[in-house]
Amino acid sequence: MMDMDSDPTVSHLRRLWLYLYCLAVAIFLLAPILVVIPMSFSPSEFLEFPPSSLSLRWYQSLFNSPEWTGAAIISLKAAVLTVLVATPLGIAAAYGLQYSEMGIAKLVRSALIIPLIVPVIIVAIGVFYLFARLNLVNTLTGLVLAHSVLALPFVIVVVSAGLQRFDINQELVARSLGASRVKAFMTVTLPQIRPSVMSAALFAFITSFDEVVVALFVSRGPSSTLTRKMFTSLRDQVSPAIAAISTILILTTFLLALAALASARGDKQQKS
Amino acid sequence: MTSDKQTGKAGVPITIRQLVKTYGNYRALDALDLDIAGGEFLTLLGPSGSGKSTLLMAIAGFIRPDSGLLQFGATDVTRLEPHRRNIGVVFQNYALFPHMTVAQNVAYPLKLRNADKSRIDERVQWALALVKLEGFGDRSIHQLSGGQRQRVALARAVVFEPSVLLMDEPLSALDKKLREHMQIEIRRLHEKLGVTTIYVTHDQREALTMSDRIAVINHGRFAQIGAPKALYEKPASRFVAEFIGDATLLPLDAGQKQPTFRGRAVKTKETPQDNASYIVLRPEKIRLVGKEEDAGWNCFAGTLDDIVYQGESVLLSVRLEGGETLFLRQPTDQQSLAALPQRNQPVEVGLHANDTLIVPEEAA
Repeated sequence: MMDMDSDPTVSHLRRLWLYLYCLAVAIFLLAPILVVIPMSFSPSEFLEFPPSSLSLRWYQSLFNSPEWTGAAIISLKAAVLTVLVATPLGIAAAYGLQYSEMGIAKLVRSALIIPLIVPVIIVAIGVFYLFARLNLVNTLTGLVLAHSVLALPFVIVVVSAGLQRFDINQELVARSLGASRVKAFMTVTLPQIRPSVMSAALFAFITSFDEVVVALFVSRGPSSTLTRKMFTSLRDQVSPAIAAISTILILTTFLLALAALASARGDKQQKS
Repeated sequence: MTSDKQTGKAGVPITIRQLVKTYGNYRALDALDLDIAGGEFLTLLGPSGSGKSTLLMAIAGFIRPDSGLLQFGATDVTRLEPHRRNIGVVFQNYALFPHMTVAQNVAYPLKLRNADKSRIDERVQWALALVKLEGFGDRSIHQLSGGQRQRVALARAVVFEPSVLLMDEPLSALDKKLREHMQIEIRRLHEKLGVTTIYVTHDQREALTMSDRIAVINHGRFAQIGAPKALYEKPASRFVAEFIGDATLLPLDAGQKQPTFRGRAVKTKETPQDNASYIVLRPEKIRLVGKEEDAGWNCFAGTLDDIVYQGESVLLSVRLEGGETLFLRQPTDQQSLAALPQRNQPVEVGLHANDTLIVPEEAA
């Protein structure tokens, strides 16, 4: 990449078309997301673009609505708990699969990745019928469990990639120097795969926070998540309140991604 | 642990009895017996896949043997977890912790032992001085050269005064000059610390240079255990004769009471064993002789095939009448060079009776 940037044989002017093309792609990708931001500041009852004037009316109504704030709290709780369940489980699975000498490990890995491949609706139906028997429908526990199933493959894939760059001999050395297996993992392995673990946790958070299909089946009424509530309220009316929520969600996700990026960069600087 | 600490300085003896490790049908360790004296420098030497690393990992505790006994001093450690064995291990790729500084790497085993801060600082300084890396404590691992990393790995492995020091081909990633330098350094360090050391290598010259004793291992069994000189001068089998040093082995005539080669009696200093079946010819032990040489020599007639100048010596290859090729080394002083015969000339190669070694196919 660096070499291409400094390549003197092609001038920036001659590459202009390439830059314009990239800009067009970026607009195509981002415009639908960004268009909701100005719409959320509209005082009108309906979605309009561009807004006739600016107002915080919909934000105000959101924060004053216990239904919406309640749903937001449910979503946050579910996402945080999903991170806490899926990340340690995924790390343990990735670690075990990486160093297992058993032939079955490959099969187990495929089995654990399945939720990533199967259409979410199928997982949702399965989970619904299972939870109905276990009395877990419309509970936070049930929602977190279901979201953890969806998040686990992401964690395994990301952490496995991190472990591939890790030299397991380091853990052997640590053990020879007097560290138990757990201590060796915590002091030698974990600090070095930290960037992967951070992105895995972020993936788990977003998987849960963005999820709507499973939530439609297993979180209803007062235990509705934010996305589910957005989905159902869209059926009744299209108000700028939705745009306001979307704006908040975009901002949250963007900040999280930025934090993950900053932490990864910090790690790199430490290394070089 | 307390007994380990007392004996740490003197070096702990190691006892291995009937140690077996199998992988499926493959016997990686085939009922091994070995006694290592306290403070000894023992090298496990063998080709790749011989079981030398498996044995080292079993001593370290990373591989659990199927059966047999492993003792450090009077303590049975066969089933003891690695972190309770008080061993220092140096791996081929050093396995330094890249997220820690040099000093933090060396302090790691001390922190695990809950040493207090002043003690840790003192020991880290001592260990870094021992490997001649004073003032490198704050460096990051990425700033070190290969040789320096090797030294940090060594310092980390000895800083807590382990009972046993294990090294798995620690020098194989270094270039030749540095490797030879580090061989002497490690030797010196061993003499200073007196820790029982087991060193794994496939490099026979390295083994000869460094060891008190060498255990030659092949197919999960010991082919021969002995001091470097004994192994080189008195190999117990064809495998050892060929693996240690360069040698051409000529088969003796079968079914003869006295050893003969192509009908001619082979003169030896000692009467060879009954099952002896090969003459060992090492390049530095044989030389070109005239036909009239005295009775103390075993002579082989052949043709000079090639002359390779190698700087410190000249390597001649001689094809015998039976088609075998012998190699012999000649010094490169002017007189010797001037006396060299031409290529394709008939020559006579002599091996003195005192240097004539005869080995069996398998050790008795």
